Amino acid sequence: MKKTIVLTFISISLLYLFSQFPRNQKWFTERIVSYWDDFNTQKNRLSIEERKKKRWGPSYTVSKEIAGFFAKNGNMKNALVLIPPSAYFKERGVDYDVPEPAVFYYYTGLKTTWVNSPVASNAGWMVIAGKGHYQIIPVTDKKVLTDSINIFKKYPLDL
Amino acid sequence: MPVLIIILLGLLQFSTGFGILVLLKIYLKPVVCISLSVLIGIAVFAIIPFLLQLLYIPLTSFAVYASIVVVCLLLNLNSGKQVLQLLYTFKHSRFRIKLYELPFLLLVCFIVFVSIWRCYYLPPTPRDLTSGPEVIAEYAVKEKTMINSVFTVDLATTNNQYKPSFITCLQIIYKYAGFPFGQVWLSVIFIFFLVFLYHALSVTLHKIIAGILMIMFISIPEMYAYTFMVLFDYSNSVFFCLSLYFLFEFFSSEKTNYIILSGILMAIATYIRSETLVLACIVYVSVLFHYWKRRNFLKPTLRSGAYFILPSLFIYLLSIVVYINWYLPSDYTIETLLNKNLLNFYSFYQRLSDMTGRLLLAGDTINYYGYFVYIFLFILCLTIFDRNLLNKTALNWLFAVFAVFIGLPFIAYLFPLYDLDNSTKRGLFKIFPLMLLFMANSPLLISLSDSIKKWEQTK
Repeated sequence: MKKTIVLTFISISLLYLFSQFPRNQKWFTERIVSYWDDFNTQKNRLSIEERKKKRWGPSYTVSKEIAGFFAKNGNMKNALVLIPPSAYFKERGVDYDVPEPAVFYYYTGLKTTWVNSPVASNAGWMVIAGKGHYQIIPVTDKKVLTDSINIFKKYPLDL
Repeated sequence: MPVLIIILLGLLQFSTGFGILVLLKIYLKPVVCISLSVLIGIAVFAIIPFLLQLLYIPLTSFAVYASIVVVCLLLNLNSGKQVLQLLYTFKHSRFRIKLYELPFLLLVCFIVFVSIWRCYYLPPTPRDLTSGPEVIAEYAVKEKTMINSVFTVDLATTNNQYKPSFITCLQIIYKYAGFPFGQVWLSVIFIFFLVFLYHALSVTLHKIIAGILMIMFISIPEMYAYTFMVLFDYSNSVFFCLSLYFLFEFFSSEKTNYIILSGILMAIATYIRSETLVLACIVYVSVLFHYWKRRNFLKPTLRSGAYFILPSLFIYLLSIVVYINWYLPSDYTIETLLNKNLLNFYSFYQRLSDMTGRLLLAGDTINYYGYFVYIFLFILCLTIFDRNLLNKTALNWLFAVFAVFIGLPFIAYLFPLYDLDNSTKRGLFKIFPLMLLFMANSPLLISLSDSIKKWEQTK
């Protein structure tokens, strides 16, 4: 028993020594302890939608708002929406990290396209922004769409 | 309720994997048998929806679960006696945890719990997942096929839809089981791999040394992050390590069923990440070494090669050539991703240098991987300077570490898209369990363990 206690003391000492290395200390505080704190609040917030909003942020909430517009108008299945790059929205004061079309579809079920895509010219709708808000507009003139694509192309695309 | 479903799925996974072990006549200690059975079971689960899809059978929840149950039953036609044997062994085995193991085990349990919770609670985040396997799985559940409306979306920004279907299949199964984000299968892999590793370490080392090594392994920051963020690399590293474990078991026991199991496990690793096939070929060199001095060199080398490489080659052909190149409704050929200038080895040396200088020995090493690499090097140097002759198993593990060290830059040389900051950084997950098992077999730590055990037993 005496030896077991000595070995237990050695175990605890080894763990203490391990925890004294700066990177281990940082990892444990920033990850494990912080995640444990998250758990204590998360365990009472189990709604799926809340979890998605919390994890994916404005990228998800704004995408859902955009998709909500089409769901309300009943043309969710057939619409193809051109979404400008994130930098375009940022410049106009809209906090929206634009998800790529596959991720947008995952979030919402709405098909979108980016300016660098060959199908961008088929878009029937596009999202534009100005002074902190965005707007969804139908494409009525192909020339307007082409001009808009050329303007949007000036902004870097970021995945 | 989710816990109950996890337990039921776990039992089904265990039974499936156990059936395979019995068919291969591989009888292991209960703890190893259970952990390995569950891990193999998960891999079998990951293949079933894929095969159903290849046969154009709609992926309804009934079809998926009925197939799983049928496969499980078929694999267990001859398992009755072995199940009784396992239960008997369990009943008569003394499962004791020593007091000095507790600090390590409690800490490991706490760290594992945090990972499980995040895996369960948070939706999938990595872009490689949400723009590929996850979105395909989400719509496969809605549309009952993996060739679904995702392929009508503008996919110009991604090639993630062409990733092997390992994750997609498991996501489908777990979404049908009532987990909206799937994912928890990763926690099952994480837990049972840790159980397996702890046992593997405890075979040669004293529990104190095994415990501290486990803590060092589990707290590799980057690797830990991928125990709750689903991507391919963590699971890939698990099955790659298991494959090598049984390959080296084969080297010491010469039992053919071990190398067959090793080949199957390597095939699973290849199914998860197809480029693992390259590493399997490099590892095959160790089979050549094994038979080198034998009089009849050629025949066993070729036979072992067939057992070890052919399953991986088969799964590569099925999951890449058949499924991605021919089956999917898009024009995508892996060959187009190959390096066009194979005679120029500059990119290989460059990647080897960058990987060593920026990821393994300097640069972001501590940030990404903590002190694990340094601890491995410290033990290796001490072993060499102490003039302890490395035993054969330690040499094998050292060779395995070398195979990954050389293999990852070689993959990057073959496929230039295999970048440093993502693919190689995560590809290095494969090297850490191998380093750990090298340490478990290093003569230095074994002799230290023996001294502690001796002291502990003397009155």
